[in-house]
This record gives sequence, C-alpha cells and structure tokens, in this order.
Amino acid sequence: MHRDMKRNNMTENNSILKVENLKTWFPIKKGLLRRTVGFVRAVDDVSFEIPAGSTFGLVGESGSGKTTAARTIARLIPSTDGKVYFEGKDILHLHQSKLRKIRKNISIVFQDPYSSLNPRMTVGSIVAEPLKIHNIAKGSEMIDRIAMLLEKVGLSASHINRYPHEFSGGQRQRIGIARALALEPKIVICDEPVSALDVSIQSQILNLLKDLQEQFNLTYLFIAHDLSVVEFISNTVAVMYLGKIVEIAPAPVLYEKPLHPYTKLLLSAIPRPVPERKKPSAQTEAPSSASPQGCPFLGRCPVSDGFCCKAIPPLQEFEPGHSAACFKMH
Amino acid sequence: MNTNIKKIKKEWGTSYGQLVWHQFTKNAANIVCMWFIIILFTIAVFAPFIANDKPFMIRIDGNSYFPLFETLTANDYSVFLAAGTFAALVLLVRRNAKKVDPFLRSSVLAKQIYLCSAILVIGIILLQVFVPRKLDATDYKSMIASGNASSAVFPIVPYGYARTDIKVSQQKPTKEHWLGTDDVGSDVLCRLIHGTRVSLSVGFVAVGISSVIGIIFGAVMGYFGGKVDFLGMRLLEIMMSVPTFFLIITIVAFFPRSLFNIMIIIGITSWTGDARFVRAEFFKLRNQDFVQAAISLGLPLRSILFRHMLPNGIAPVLVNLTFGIAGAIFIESALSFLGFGVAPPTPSWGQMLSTGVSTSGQFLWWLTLFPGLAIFFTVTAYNLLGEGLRDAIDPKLRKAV
Repeated sequence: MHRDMKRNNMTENNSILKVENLKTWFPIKKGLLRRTVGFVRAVDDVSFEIPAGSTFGLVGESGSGKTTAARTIARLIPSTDGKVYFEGKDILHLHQSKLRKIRKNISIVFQDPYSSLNPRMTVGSIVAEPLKIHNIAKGSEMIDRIAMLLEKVGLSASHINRYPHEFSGGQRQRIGIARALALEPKIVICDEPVSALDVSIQSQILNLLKDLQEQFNLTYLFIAHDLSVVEFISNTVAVMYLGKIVEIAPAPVLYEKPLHPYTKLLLSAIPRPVPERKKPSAQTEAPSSASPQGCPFLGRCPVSDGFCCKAIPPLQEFEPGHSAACFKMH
Repeated sequence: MNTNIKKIKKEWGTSYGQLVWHQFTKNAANIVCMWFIIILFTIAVFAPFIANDKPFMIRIDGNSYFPLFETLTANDYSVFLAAGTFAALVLLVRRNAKKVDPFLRSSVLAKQIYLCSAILVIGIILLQVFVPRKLDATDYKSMIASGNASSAVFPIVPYGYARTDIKVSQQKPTKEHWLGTDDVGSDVLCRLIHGTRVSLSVGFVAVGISSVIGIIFGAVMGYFGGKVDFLGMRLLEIMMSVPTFFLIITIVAFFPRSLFNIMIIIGITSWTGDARFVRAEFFKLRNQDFVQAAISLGLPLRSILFRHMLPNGIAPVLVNLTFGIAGAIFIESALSFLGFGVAPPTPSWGQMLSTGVSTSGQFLWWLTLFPGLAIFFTVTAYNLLGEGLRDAIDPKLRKAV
C-alpha cells in the first residue's frame, strides 16, 4: 500500500516515457507501379504515459498492434506520425548517432525465446557484446559482470560458455532478460515475454521480472494478450483494439469496473474456477476489416446502436485515471 | 575470480561449428573427397619436389651441389609460405577449440587471422622483391651419362615442365614417361603435377574474390531493402545478363595472359550467385528477433551484419562457394583449352587437353585422358564436398537422417 502511494506521487511529476498520438501505418501497395492504395493502421493515435518505476500493461488480442506499438517506441519500426518522449526528449526523430545513446536506456525482452538469441554465439558473448560496444566493462571485470547478471536472472555463471541451443525455453528467456538488463536500462519493453512459455515457467519468469524491477528500479512496458498475467504485474493497464487504445485504467480498477464492452469481453475470456461472470453475447471473432467511419468495435459490440457507426469514439476520462473510448458509457 | 574461471572452463558447450563438423565427418564420401583435395593441395604445394629435372643433390668434381633448392623461384617460396600460414591457421583453430574460452574465441581467432594474413602479404612482397630469378639450364642427366657427375638424387618424376625434347615427342605411356609425352616432348605427368597449382589456385583466389564482393553486396541489399535493394538487384541483373565467358575472352584479349588476370576476371564476374543467396538469407534474418535485439541494443551496423546475421546466413553461400571453385576450375580449363589461358610453358590442365588434338592430325589419347580425368575428379570432389556441407548444415535434413 505504501509503495502504491509512492508510485502515485511519482505519476504526477515524473513520467519516464510519454507517447503522444503515435501512428504506425503500413502502406498497402498494388498494381504494376506499386501505388499506395491504402494503409494498415497497425497503431493509430495511441497516447499514454509511463511513470518511472512502474509497470504499464498493454493488452489486446493478436493483431491489435501491441507489438507494433512497442517496436515503434523502440525505433525498430519507423513511425508514421506522433511523438515519443523519453525523459523529455523526442526520440522518434533522433539521428542514428544520438539514438545509440538512447538505445542504451531502452531494451527489449522478446516473445519467442527460440528466435531471440543468436544461435551462433555463446551466452557470454550475447550478454557481453552490448557491454563492449557501449564501453561499460572490459576484461575480467566484464566476465564478473556477466556472471553477476546470469546469477541475477537465475542462471549459473558456468553457463557463460554454453550455446543457446543447449537451454530450455524458460532458461533462454532468462538469457534474454539478462541481455536486456546488461546495459542497465531505465525502461524495459517486455514484448509478451511469457506467452511462449508453459504456465509453471510463466509464473517463475513473472516473479523474476518483479524482483528485478525492485532491485534495479526498472520501468516496464509490459505487453501481453493474457489479462491475468498483466493483472499480476501491472500498475496501469491499457487495452488496445485494432490499433487504438479503447480503455486505460489502474490495474485494480480495470479488473473491478471495466467500462468498455471490449474489455468486458476480454475479461470474460479469462478462465476462472468459478464462472461468476456470465459471458456477454458478443461475437468473439475479429472483423476482417474495420470501417474507417464508425467505432472499430462496432461489428462485435453487444451494446452498439445506430450512433456508433457515425463517428469514432474518442478516449474520454470517466473518473481520474480511468478512460474509455465508448459512447455508451453515460 | 580465478577459481570462477576454472570452474567455467569445465562447462564449455558445443558450438555450432563443432556440430556441423561432427555431422560432416559422419559421411564417408565427404572424408574421401576431403582427403582427395588435401592430397591434391599437397601435390600442388610440393610440385617442384615431386617433378623436377634438377636433382636434390649431385656431386660434381667431388663437390656437392643442391641445384633443386637453388632454382626455386619466388613463386615457389610464396606458395610454401601460403601453405605454411594456412596450415598454421588450421592448427590454431584446432588449438582454440581446445584451449581458448569460447567466450573469447572469436576475438582471438580474429587476431590470429589478422596476424597470419599480415605475415602472408608482407612475406610474399618480400619474397617477390628479394628472391632473385635464377636460370639453370644445365642438363644434369647428360652430365651423369657422360660421367662428369655422380650420386645424384632426382625427384620421383625427373623431368621439368618447361623442358622440351623433340626426340621423345608424342610417346605413349612408357616406363620412362609414365603418362607419355606431348608434342614437344615434355613429360605429361610432370605437367599434370605442376598444372595442379594453376587449377587449384584459380579456384581458390577467384572464388575468394567473388565471395567477398558477393557477400558484401548481398548483405547490404538484404539488410537495407527498399531502394538500395531495388538498385542493387538491377545492377546484379545487368551483371547476370552479360555472357560471362565471352566477357572473359574479350578482357583476356586486351590484357596480358597471366594467371593473376584470369583469377581477377573470373572473380569479378561470378559474384552474382553469392550476392543473391546472401540477400535472400538476410531478408529472412532481418526480421528475426535476435537481429532486432541487436539493433535495439544499439550495436553498430558492422557487428549486426557480419557478427549476428552473416554466420546465420552463410550456409548456402558456403555450399555455393565449393560449387564456385569447381566452376572456376572449369572456366580456367576452357579458357586454356581455347588458348586464352595461362601462357606456355606454364602448364594447366585445360591447355594440356588442347594439345591432344591440335598440332598433329591424330588423336593422342593420353594427352586428353589424364588431364581430363584430373579435371573430372577435382570438380567432382568439390561438388560432393559442397553437397556434404549442405547436408551437414541443413538442420531439417539432419533430423530426417
């Protein structure tokens, strides 16, 4: 409780990452001349803030643009429009040479532990390379540091000279976390770090992430499609649907009082031992294409009426810190 | 700290290279081909010691002379130096696998390669500048026959590749000339042995040049994509549409006929295949998470391209490389056959083939058969080696077998 109070204070004055109207559109090209005939709006007008030391959860079904948003923030995918402020600096338009210094502070833990580690490098060199490049440590000091990092993530220092193919999925994910932490980043983007792991390993990795957050005072942008995972780790949760944030609220509030019909639908999909919530009667399949005019959730919404197809609902604040994009909330 | 490292030393994993090597050596055909090529290389390196008309040692008027060693040229010494450095490098790699921490192995290996190539380049320059060209036209055999000299030790094939002897021209294989003689009376076996040098070095140097160009070109195209890729691919298509063989013939007509020119020309015209392979691999790897991770960690482009992506995308290039060596040997043979290859009296297999039919009307089978077989076996060995390498590298095939 005390920690929550502290975090709430920090929210007001100290946001480490601020995303404003971020858009990532991919052009659809057709014909002989490769003319652009339209756009896939993978991330469309997304704004949020992450206070230092907290965890921001981003949930949504597959294809909702969570990963694209994360990769755009990490400058792995070029953005179409919008701004991302890291410690007050806009990083989307930084030149490559200046960007390198920022990259030191933003690292990523990837979803698939099998493809996120270079199969031709030892665990030691995977973790060592960023240290070398950024001139953080050298020689025996570096080996000590790598050993320390591996022990921090629950591996042994003797694993330095092993190759990734000699590890299990959970261990590989730990290596990925060690690599992400090697540069002592300020913010770690966790791109579905547990969804490729089985359930017992999931909880281990989540606990590890929580412990590391306390030790290193990390900020997480945590992406998942599993609401129960996000509930466990997040302070604030945003729900994305077709490239837009449809609801954003502190984690306990979102789970107690979901406002948006899509959030309700997602929550009803969490398997519970006692099914106290009745499933809302909504289509569970995503529409193949969203109409650009009305609410993107229109086709699946159980509470929609004629008004919903006329305009896109804006994100409105219903109570402090709790916003939703729906016309039917009044 | 020290105990820490000692403990770590026991726990070295198996590297990908070791896995591939293990898989490669499982197949008997691969081993046979590898040994064939190693023996061929040994023959090429020690050609002057195997086939030479100068004796190792001879006694003239009571004094001992060593004419074979005195007449070795700067080229011979360069070949010895190159072979020596290569052997040293192979031994160093083996030693590294046992002694050096895998964590430091790549940087140690890089240092060793830099050192070896520096020694090689400086050594060759020094040898070419300082070793004098010695001509020794003494006919030691006639000296022994006339009784002027005694106790000579000749190599196994006691003929020089440049020595002509009209008296014994166009002889079928006999006891003296195991594979017969050609139309100017040179020993075929001797020329075959010295021709190994030309064929093997053409294969290696030409493919070395083409793979360096191809890998860099393909890597840049595949990594950046978009406009760079578009322009690069058009340039590559232009290169591919040029009939390489006729381009080589045209260029050879303008420049002096030397082995070096042929190597360079084959090298700079045959990189398109490598470039396309690397480009395709890099397209695939570009979106892999570990490459994205490397980018997100702020690693420099050089490291991303050549440390993270290239080792994972080199497999098809490596296979293509061995086929390329076979192809380069073919091109050189064809050029020499047509008379555009190395200038006589330097022997090459293709050139020897052509002597079998050209001057005299009749068909001299031993002049065609033996160089033809040499080309056939060498090219086959390289192709089989390439196929073995592909099977060893391809993890899908590995599971199936």
